[in-house]
Amino acid sequence: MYTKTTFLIIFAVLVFSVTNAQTTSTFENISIPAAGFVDDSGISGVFQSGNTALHNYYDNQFFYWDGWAISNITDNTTPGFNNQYSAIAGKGFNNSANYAVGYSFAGNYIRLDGAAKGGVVNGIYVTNSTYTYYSMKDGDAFAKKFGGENGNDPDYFKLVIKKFKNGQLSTDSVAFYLADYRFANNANDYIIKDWTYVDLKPLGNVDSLVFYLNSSDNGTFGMNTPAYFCIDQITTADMVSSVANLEQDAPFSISPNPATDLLNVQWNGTAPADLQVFDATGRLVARQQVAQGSNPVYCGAWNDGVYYMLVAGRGMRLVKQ
Amino acid sequence: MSVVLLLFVAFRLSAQQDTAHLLPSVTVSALSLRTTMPGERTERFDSTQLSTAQHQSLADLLSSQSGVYIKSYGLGSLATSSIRGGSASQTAILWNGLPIQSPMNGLSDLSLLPAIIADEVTMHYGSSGAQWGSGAVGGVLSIQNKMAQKGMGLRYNASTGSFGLQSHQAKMQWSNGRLSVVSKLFTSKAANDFSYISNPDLPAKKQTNAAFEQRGFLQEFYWVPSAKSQISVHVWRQFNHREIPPTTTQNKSLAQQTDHALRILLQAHRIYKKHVLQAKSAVFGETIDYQDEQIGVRALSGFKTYLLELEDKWQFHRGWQAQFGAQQTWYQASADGYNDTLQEVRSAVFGNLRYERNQFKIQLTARQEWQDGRAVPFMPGLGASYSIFKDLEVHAKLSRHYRLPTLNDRYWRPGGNLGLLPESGWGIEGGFRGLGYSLTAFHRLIDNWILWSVAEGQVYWSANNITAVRSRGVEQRFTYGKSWKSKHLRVITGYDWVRSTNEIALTRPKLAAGEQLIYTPVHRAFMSMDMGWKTTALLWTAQYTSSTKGINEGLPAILIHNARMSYGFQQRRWGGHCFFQVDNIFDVSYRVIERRPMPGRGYRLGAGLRI
Repeated sequence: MYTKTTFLIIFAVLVFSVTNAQTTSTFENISIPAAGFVDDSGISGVFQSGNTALHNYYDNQFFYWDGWAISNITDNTTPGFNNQYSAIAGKGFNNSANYAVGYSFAGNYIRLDGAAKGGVVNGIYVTNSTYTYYSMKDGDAFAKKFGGENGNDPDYFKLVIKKFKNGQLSTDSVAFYLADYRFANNANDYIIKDWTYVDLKPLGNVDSLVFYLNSSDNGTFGMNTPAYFCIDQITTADMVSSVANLEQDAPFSISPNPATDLLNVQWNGTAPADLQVFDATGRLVARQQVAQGSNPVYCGAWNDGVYYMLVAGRGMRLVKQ
Repeated sequence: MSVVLLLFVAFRLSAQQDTAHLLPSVTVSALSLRTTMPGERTERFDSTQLSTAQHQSLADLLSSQSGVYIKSYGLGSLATSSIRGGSASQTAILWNGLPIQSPMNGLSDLSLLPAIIADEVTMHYGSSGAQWGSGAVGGVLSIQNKMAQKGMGLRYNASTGSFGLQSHQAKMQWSNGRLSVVSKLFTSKAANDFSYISNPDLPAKKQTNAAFEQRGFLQEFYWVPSAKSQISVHVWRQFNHREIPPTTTQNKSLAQQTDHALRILLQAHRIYKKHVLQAKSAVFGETIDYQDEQIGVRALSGFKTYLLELEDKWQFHRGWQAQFGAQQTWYQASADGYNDTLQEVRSAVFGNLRYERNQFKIQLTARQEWQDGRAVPFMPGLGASYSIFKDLEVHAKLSRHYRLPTLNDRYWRPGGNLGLLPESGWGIEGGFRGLGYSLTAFHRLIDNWILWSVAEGQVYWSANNITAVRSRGVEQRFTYGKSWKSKHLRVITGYDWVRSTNEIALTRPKLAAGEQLIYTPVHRAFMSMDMGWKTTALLWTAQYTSSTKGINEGLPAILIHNARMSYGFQQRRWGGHCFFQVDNIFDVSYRVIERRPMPGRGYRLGAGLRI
């Protein structure tokens, strides 16, 4: 049985963690050689920045890389494969130097580490690589110019972000169109050229993020559009380790998470318990009793954002969208 | 009893059958002693057909007047062949009996082989790995040169045409029967800026960055020290520069490619009482300089091939003859995709036993080859033909075939796979020919088909033996020729039905089991009609290709007509001709390779002189 003092301590920790603990992976900590990029992370197999680890594979026999590379290349005018490490924005987000380049046809992985582990990723900035941008804009020897020969083909280049949680790949995803030519009015067709924010809170708590690329330009040998994109500024909603421990073995579960109007709290305790929900500022937004089994909680009136739910002294984050 | 010595193959168009020649004097082609196998279907392009194609490439000639499917990226651009549903690297290209394909990718670009080089061109259809080695899976394209006849001759042709086309060819030859010199020079270029329709609702577009220029020479020296021996040297030098046009879904291209080729062949033969011994030594070198200023790419690659071949043909009993030989090949190649300059050694021994009696011929052929010391599966072949009566012959052939993995397949970074096995399998065919008509049915299975694919657990494309391909089909030809005093008519028609299917379902590349291979038409037909009256002639050709599947989309069926009107004249010691040619008469908008437009109607005007 938790005492009132214990509860207050837990609450204070939670409020602190929700309101103040966020880390941004900027990749500025990664040293980049004169070539302007690093595509070999060494034996660690990851580029570590903030509370994220970006997976990298480098084949020393073939000098081939896959996954993530870190770059500070500013040449955003040269098309083609030789400029594969460049972002079309010509710099990192907010004029920073470094950014990450993703290349893979099997999925790019980012693992959440430290205080971000198992938590919410607030968002990420995304843009096209220079290679892919010009390939879609002008075509190349292998991939088509978006819009096709008559400019009316409903082409698209889509980034789909999923999560791994407890070893399971989610079916939920966040999609972002890096290029979209599906509009009836061709004047609305676009290819992303600037750093653009993608909100990842709808994914809820994650252990790892996985990025997939889809294109409308596919052939027998797979996707023709170069499988590159760039990211910067991954912001994770971190928590102190004590909170992370609180989440482990919590005797209740929340579904769906993220939720829109109604969520269900599955309480596994035999005795009724007190349920409290706090927003990011520490304000109590909901309180009710839960009994063993499924307990509906109406959340339609809450603002979108990250919340923390306490039941019998154990906590869990949830996202309202 | 006098010994009848059979020597050297001569291929005859009309009967399309092999015929062993007596050796009346030393009129020797540079072809191998290996005869065309009984039961094999061949098509020969004689001097008449070649003379009308002097200004063209072999790709143009084969495309318009044979059953060979030419995958052309456009005028002056890359052109490769597909025979009986095989891939481009499954056609062996022989120059005077020696393979000239690139060891790097197994290909030879037919657009870079000008027709003027050849004195005779023969297409051998079907598997003949036991005869000609690696790559002779779908068929063999054989380019031959011949010693000039006694006397002196000079020919010069020039033509100009649509899209900035200009070409010149000259051939000079001299022979006193003991010495012979043949020189051939050629040059051609075109802006290739044709207009094409990409969409009926949009105005026509003009092709850009598509110019090409080609020039070169073939120099031959023949020396006949005695009636029983001959030595010859052949030097073929060629330069080719071409711009690589954008696809129809690409705004612009600045890519260009420069190719240099130097091929030197030295050969000698001597006739003994019951033997003919032939030796060949050759050096073939090619370089490719690919540049694309737009994307900051320059890729240099090249290879050298050193070849030694020794053959002997032995007439050991009446009706029986044996042939055996050995070939040693050294390859050197370099490319950005290799770790270093590569070397590969191939060794082969081969032979055949042939029996001919009356109207019956049978030949057993075998070959054993080693690639870098690793043995390739033993390659046997058996062919037979029988003339039931004068104008009806039945024939059949069974042969094993193989294609060795190329240097790119083995060493390219990433994805080269040193563990690759050769593609191999069996082919069987049979048919009959008579009264100008021939029908051949064939079936071929190729195991260990090499495809670049993504293997389980890999993150890059690599070469793998991952599937099998089954090809089967029926080929029909009808030839009719007649002359009436000052008139002549010759018609050659053909229809091929070919199913060439992938046998194992794959995910990447995405190929279903039973699916027709990409760029492999099921139906193909052609017609060539040559009509003449006195010195005026009209040649009309038409080619039909059924719809094909490309990498990204399907391509509709194509029917293209071409016509050529020529007028010739002959004075006492000199003569000449002029011609007017219309290509793609009905201005059909078409593509052979997706996103690669072909020219519409084009005209060509030319003239020639001969002394």
